Amino acid sequence: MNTTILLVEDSEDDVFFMKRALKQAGVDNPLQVVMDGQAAIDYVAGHNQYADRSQFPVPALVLLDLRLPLVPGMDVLKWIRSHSDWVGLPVVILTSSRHENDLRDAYASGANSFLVKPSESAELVAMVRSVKDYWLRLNNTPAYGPRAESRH
Amino acid sequence: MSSPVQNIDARVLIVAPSGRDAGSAAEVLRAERIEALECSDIPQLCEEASKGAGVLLVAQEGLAHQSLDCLLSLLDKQPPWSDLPLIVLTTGGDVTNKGAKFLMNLGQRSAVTLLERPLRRSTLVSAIRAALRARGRQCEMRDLMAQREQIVAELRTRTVRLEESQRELLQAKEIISKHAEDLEQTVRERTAKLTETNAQLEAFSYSISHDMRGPLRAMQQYSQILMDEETELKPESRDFLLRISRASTRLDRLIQDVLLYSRAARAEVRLSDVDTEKLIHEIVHQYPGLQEPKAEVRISQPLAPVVAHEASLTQCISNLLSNAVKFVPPGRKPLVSVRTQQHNGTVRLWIEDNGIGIAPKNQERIFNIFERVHSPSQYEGTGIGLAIVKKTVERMGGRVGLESDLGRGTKFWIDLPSPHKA
Repeated sequence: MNTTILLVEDSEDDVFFMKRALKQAGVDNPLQVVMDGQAAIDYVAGHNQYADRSQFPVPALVLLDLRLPLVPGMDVLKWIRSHSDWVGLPVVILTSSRHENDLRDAYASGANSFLVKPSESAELVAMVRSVKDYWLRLNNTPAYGPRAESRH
Repeated sequence: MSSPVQNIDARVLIVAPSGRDAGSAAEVLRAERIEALECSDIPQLCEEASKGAGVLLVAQEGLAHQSLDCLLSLLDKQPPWSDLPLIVLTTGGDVTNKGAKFLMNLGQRSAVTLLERPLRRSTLVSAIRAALRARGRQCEMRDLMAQREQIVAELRTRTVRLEESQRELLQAKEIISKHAEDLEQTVRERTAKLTETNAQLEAFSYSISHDMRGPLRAMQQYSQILMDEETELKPESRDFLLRISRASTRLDRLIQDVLLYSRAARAEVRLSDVDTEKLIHEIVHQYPGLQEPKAEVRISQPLAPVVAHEASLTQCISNLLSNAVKFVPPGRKPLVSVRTQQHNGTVRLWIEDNGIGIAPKNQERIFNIFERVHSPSQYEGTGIGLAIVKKTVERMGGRVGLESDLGRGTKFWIDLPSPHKA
């Protein structure tokens, strides 16, 4: 069963805060971090350095920043949604501000949720806890990933 | 004979060499008030006739022995309207062959009448009158033709002028359409430029909200982590960390408010009828700071609806309500009352508080961006909230103002159009 959380985040500070918040919230799911949009696509697809699924498992949830080097977060989202293997992979946008156009584009492109990074660590811990509870416990998804395709 | 010529076209020119007829004829005619001029010979008659004549009266013997080419030539050269009457006084009896031939020649060129002598006075007068009458018609014809020429010439001039005007008009039209095209082009260019500037501003504020808030978040959280986890911090160090955290929070709020202000100044405003009462209930419901036990907001129902942009009006009322509960002296419970008043198609929305009030000298400037009356340590804020209210209300075609009693409270009002006419 997938339990890995894939964090797509180019700020080392935010990666640090996220790791810390996960720990404080008692979320023990394995965390994988990629720091640009192209790496995010490669990871999900299992390409190049991410080919080894035992080391880089299929994620159960993607936390996706929008402002990313190489490939913007919105394009990563579109790439994921344009591949039928990944139709069930939950993608939560986690970005700096709630910009109206970003919100609309994100939902139009198939985002499952849109969250704004809190500036208080306590709020971040609470948010992380809710995300885990909702997306990794309560929520149901169809089978997805490369094996989903071979089942058809 | 010396009487002044009254009408050159009505005079009778007479040639009678023997003197007998001429004298008497001229006298007879003058007695009848007909103008008569005796000429000594045919050349003189021709000369006078070329100036103008009504009738030529010639005795046959006058024609007989003189060079008559000038008379034939005179008659030949008549203009188309003219058929100069010529009366020849013949001598009784035979006309010579030569004489007859000549008279026939004359008859082809002119209206010739032969009057045989001896002649009665009345015959002469009536013949002359008839001839003058015919000549009068010819002259009328001449004058009409001259008039016609004049009219035709005038018409031609006017046509030319008209054509010129039309040409000028056409040129003017071309110039105007060229100008219109230029103008359209300019408008297109300006619009494109404006759209580009707007897009740049949008990109700018986007980048501010994303890229500038990241480092701020880091400052806030690292200082918080230090405060939370470092057990051996000196009290002074803890205070500094608190200050770093507060300063970054404040800068974050400032950035967000500046972005809100720039959005209020640029965003499209779409007006519709807004249920003020429902909107205010929703705002109060959303902010715990506006609810018991922290504060009391009294709404004088019913509140009149207004014409506004709902999202913008929500922003304005939220700002005013949060100011109303914020600027209260320590120890006093905020009490805010909201009511509407209708006047001449306008709704005035009042938001009245029991706060510290605003001194008259500050009542204008508090609407300017970054203006603050109090230090952030007394009442925190960015100094942008009321500037957003003013900008937004004005963009919706309304007005905002206040009345205040220093120390006792402030009444802010917003004027917006009523959806009900009159």
